[in-house]
Amino acid sequence: MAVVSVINQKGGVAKTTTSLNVASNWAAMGKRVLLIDLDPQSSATKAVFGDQEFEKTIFDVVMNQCLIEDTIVHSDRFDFDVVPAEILLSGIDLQLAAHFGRETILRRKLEPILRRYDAILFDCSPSLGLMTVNALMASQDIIIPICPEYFSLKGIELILQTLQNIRTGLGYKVGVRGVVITRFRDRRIAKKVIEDVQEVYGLKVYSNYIPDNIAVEEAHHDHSPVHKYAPKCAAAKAYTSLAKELW
Amino acid sequence: MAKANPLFIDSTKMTGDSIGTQFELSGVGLYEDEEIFVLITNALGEVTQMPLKMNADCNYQTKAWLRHQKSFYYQYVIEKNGQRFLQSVAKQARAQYAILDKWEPVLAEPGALPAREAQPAISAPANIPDHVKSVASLMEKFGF
Repeated sequence: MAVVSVINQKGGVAKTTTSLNVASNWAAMGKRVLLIDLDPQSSATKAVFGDQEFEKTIFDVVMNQCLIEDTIVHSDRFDFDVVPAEILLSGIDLQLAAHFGRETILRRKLEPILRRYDAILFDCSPSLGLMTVNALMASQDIIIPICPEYFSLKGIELILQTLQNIRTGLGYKVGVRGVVITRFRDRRIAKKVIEDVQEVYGLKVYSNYIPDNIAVEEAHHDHSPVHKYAPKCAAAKAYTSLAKELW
Repeated sequence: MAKANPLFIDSTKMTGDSIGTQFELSGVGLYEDEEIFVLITNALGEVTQMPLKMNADCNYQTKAWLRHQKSFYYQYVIEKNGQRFLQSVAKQARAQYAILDKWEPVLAEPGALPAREAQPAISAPANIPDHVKSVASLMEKFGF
């Protein structure tokens, strides 16, 4: 059983794309997978289900309005379960500010369903808020997707600082599984950034880089994982190999 | 002392609750006759000296019970044959679950830990009865 957060405090690094495609490939490997969307923009939810509305979402779970079991929706195309998100999540920090044990709500809510799945993935919001802290407190480790550019290194610094703050302030140690390189183009700066991630931060970089490929974006429009939408494209093959490497 | 981000403060603890704080120090190399300690000074100026032991990650660590979010000073010292040999700079922190540091000895003259904060003088309230002002008067009053 693995509980993993896909996180980067920098936006636009293909967090949702990575979450969806890794989860879908794990499902294709025969694993029972649950994806929990924690982004108020609901990108993962919309990529899987389009504009479908959900009566119960992760917001209701956190606000103690329903059980997490009641929010789970299965996607036949992606072949995994999803707990959808909604825009109300953006105001949840205010609602929970004075809540006793506010940083471990998700961890407690997840308890009854942990044994149903081989992997639970959190697709985190780029902002550092209570939901991100909750995801980290419920995760064993994290996966950091980055586009190989200068600002990604700053994003990694922020994440490592956040993990240290969780350790010191909340007493929980979250591991870093490794860094996934997304939107890769074979340029000198990309290689330099990857070297820095390994040498300066001592983090594992997965060997399957995800190439910059339009099929990934087209797959979102088709509400399909890229390995089903365009199985022969380089990005689809890279995600399939990455999912095996990550497992 | 760094400002505390409320996101990373345990909401299940009140300020002042007892909390086990793990001190973890990396980058230390000790010879056989050397020992490393952390000196912890609380707000009342009470100093506790705790030995640090090596953990599985080859860092040195110990656990001290402190008051959640209360300020304290701490300093790492290496002793050789019972004599202070090397030390770090004394730092101020708030008590939380872990204090993570890298060993950075200072070569300057040992800087003492911050002196105990001055406490206001304690005096008897003005309206206290005469017979409780001294032991002799109490004994006289109650016949001991």
